[in-house]
Amino acid sequence: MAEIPPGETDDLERVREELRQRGYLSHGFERFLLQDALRPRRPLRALVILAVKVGLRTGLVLSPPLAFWLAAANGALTTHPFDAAVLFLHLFAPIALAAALAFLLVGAATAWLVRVSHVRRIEAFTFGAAAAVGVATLALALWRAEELVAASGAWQIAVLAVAAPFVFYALVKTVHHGLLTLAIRLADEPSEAWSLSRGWLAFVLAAAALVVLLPALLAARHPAAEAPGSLPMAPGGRVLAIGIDGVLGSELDYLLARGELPALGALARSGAVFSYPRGTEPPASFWTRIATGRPSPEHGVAALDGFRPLGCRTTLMRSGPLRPYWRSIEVPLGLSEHRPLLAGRRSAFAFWELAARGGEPALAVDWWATFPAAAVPGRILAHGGYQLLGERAKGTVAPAADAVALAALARAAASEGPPPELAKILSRPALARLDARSLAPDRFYRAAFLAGLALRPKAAALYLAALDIAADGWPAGSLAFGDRVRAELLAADRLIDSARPGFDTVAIVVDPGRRGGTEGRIVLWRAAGCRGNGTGRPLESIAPEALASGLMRALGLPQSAELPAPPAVCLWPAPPGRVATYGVPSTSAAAARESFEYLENLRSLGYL
Amino acid sequence: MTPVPDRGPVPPSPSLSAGLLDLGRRVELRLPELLPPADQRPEAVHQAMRYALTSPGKRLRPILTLAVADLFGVGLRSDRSTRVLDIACGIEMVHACSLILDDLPAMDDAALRRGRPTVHRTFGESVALLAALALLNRAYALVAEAAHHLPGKRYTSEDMIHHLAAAIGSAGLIGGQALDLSSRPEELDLERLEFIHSHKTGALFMAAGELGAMAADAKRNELELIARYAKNLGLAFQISDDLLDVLSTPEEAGKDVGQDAGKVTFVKRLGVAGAQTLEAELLGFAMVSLEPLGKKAEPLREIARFVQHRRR
Repeated sequence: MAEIPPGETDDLERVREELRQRGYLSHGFERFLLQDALRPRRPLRALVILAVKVGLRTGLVLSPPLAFWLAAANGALTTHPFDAAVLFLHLFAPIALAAALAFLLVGAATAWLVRVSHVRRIEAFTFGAAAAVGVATLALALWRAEELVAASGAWQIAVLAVAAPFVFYALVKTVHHGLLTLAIRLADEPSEAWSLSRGWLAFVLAAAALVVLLPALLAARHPAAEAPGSLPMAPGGRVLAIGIDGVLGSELDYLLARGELPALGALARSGAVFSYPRGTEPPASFWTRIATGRPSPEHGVAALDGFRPLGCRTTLMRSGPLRPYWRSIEVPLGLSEHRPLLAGRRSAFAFWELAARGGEPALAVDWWATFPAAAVPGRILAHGGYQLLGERAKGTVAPAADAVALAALARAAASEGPPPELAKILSRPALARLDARSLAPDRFYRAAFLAGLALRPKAAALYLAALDIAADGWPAGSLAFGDRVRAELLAADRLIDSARPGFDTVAIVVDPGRRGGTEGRIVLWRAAGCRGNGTGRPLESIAPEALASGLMRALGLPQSAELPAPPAVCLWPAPPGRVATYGVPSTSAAAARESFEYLENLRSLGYL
Repeated sequence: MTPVPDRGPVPPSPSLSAGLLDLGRRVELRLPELLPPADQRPEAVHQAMRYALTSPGKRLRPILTLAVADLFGVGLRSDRSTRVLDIACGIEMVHACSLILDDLPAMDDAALRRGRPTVHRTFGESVALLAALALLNRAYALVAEAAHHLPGKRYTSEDMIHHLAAAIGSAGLIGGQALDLSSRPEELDLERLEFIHSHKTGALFMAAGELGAMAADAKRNELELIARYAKNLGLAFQISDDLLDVLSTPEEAGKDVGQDAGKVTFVKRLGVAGAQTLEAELLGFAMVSLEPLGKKAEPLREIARFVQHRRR
């Protein structure tokens, strides 16, 4: 009788499992791609079919975690968990398509290299290429999804950190099998010995992803500090802040140097002028930085708009890298609805809101991320208020009783008509459109602001966007636009001259907006004094958040650990203490109200 | 040494059904017609080819090719079936070639094959080598010619030749044999073992099944089902071979036994009972894979049952 020599006896279940992974005893996916290696297909056809398969599988791998993450970051996971399933359906097709197209490119490059360079170690080579694709995807996700990570809670980060290595492994494996299949098909070479077992490979990939991901996620996350029950407040002074959008720094420098802006020039000479770098940040995000002292995405207003995918109960105000997809593909196809940016999405207090905590009035006119207007002592005229009053949209003014008087001011501004010099160069319809979109609104906002000053607000904020809006489709050439810049700045200068008395701190922020300048200007004046250079030219570059920090300090608020120190060249009162944070506004009521009028307003002004 | 459980009296080897046996007989009859006459120069090589090819074998691979083609509608009496029969014979020639090479002193150095002395013991090594190469080339020529005359619309003759070449080449049968020869037992982990078996044995089983499907112009998804079936069948066949090496006598097996004593096999890794269980599971899965094809795939299930109960 024959005998079996002694040898190791493997566990049958382990062998079964290994064989399953290698395509036996299983209808699974492992051989889904590799079976194509020996299929009699032409290279181009093989590449296309593989790309389709890789796309489908990548869609299945990436869509569920992304849907989960989107739902969690937008707060829908607990309130409307079914949204995650709906989001999966929305995301699967585009991810599969994008992955298939990407695989076509990577696969074509791999095929070319295998053929031209006669690569022999095709398994190692394709694994390297797949790992590079995985790392690139991971890097892209970390880079573009900062908005989502910042909004994620600790448990969401934990789930993400645990799940991401598996997703990374599945992605690399999918791409690797696809490329390997293609390489086998093209090279007709056996894959040479592969030193890592599957188990080790999985472990190495997952561990590498975890090692990279965990610190990156922890660094990108901004956990909310606990806000104090009440803020210690010093008496502080009165603060006036005016934002002028659509003016280049060089234009302001020129007009100040020529002495054409007397009020602003006086502030610049006796205060300090700063520059700040300006990137491509959306206006809503930038002006919220000025108002809150928090950068994006920490202040929560990362974009101008949000989207509600078909079937979802919750609007996605945070979309991370998927924003272009919702806007450019889903909305035009009717698969998603545009939703306006709402004040409730702001996750940091504006300086006027903090100033009003002690019961003193505050005034904010047309500032971004103020719709619907929050009820604070004083008056809030929401962003886009001119058009919204015309539409009688709810939430335009707080208190609502002031809407009647403000509507009368709006009508008066409209009836005033455009400047006569423009009537000489523009057709009647073009002039009417320009006036309705940009000039009349700013006339109204200036009037509404001056009227609001009668409340003696402790903090007053005004945003003027006429030039930024007018520049969008300006019909009359650059020389005429230069004249308009001069005229609007003169109007603002007259306003500053009228508004300034009684305020201890005045900040004028002049931003290039959508005109594409690389830097803006801040004119800061303090009654207590600023050590400027006395010339009206920029002294140094500062972060916009530093200005907000100074405004908070001037109002008598404590110094928040979340904000940088105010500009050192001005004298600031000692803070009444230090706090970890000023806290997070309640979002429930404001976020629930949505307004199509506001959305249409943003669209008509060229922001969407 | 671990004693092997006695199976008791050896039952007669189960036979295939009459239908499948008939397919085997057609192959047996056709094979000699496809070879050059034994008295044609070079006589020794031609005699060696005949010796290798006409020795009593199971003809399982060509039967698989014919059964699959029949399953997808190639009538056994049709003109098309003659072309498919030639393809099946080509597969058997490749198998015979692999056996000649496998038995050479440089490889397994076997003395017995199919109950007879091996080719190199009968004709000498040089003739055995040349006969193996001649069989291989004859197989390519046969498949190319037959495939060229098949009227299928989904697969070209180039596709089929490429498919066969891939199954034989260094990414297939030759690759498996090469790794088998170069691997030391202590470094033969499960992954390598599977690689060797899937390439050395499984690749030709898969090619046999898939060429049958391609010859019958089967749909892609049907081809996939056959590939899955043949893949599991191929590994089960190899495990059953390993079991025979341990459990049978040379007379029962028709070849040398105990040849695997120094090798790592599934039997060594799992024990006899474990290997038998795994073999049964693989064959069971192979049969389950045929479910979408319904009852008409019964001959293929029968082949799987035959592999499970074979004694040689």
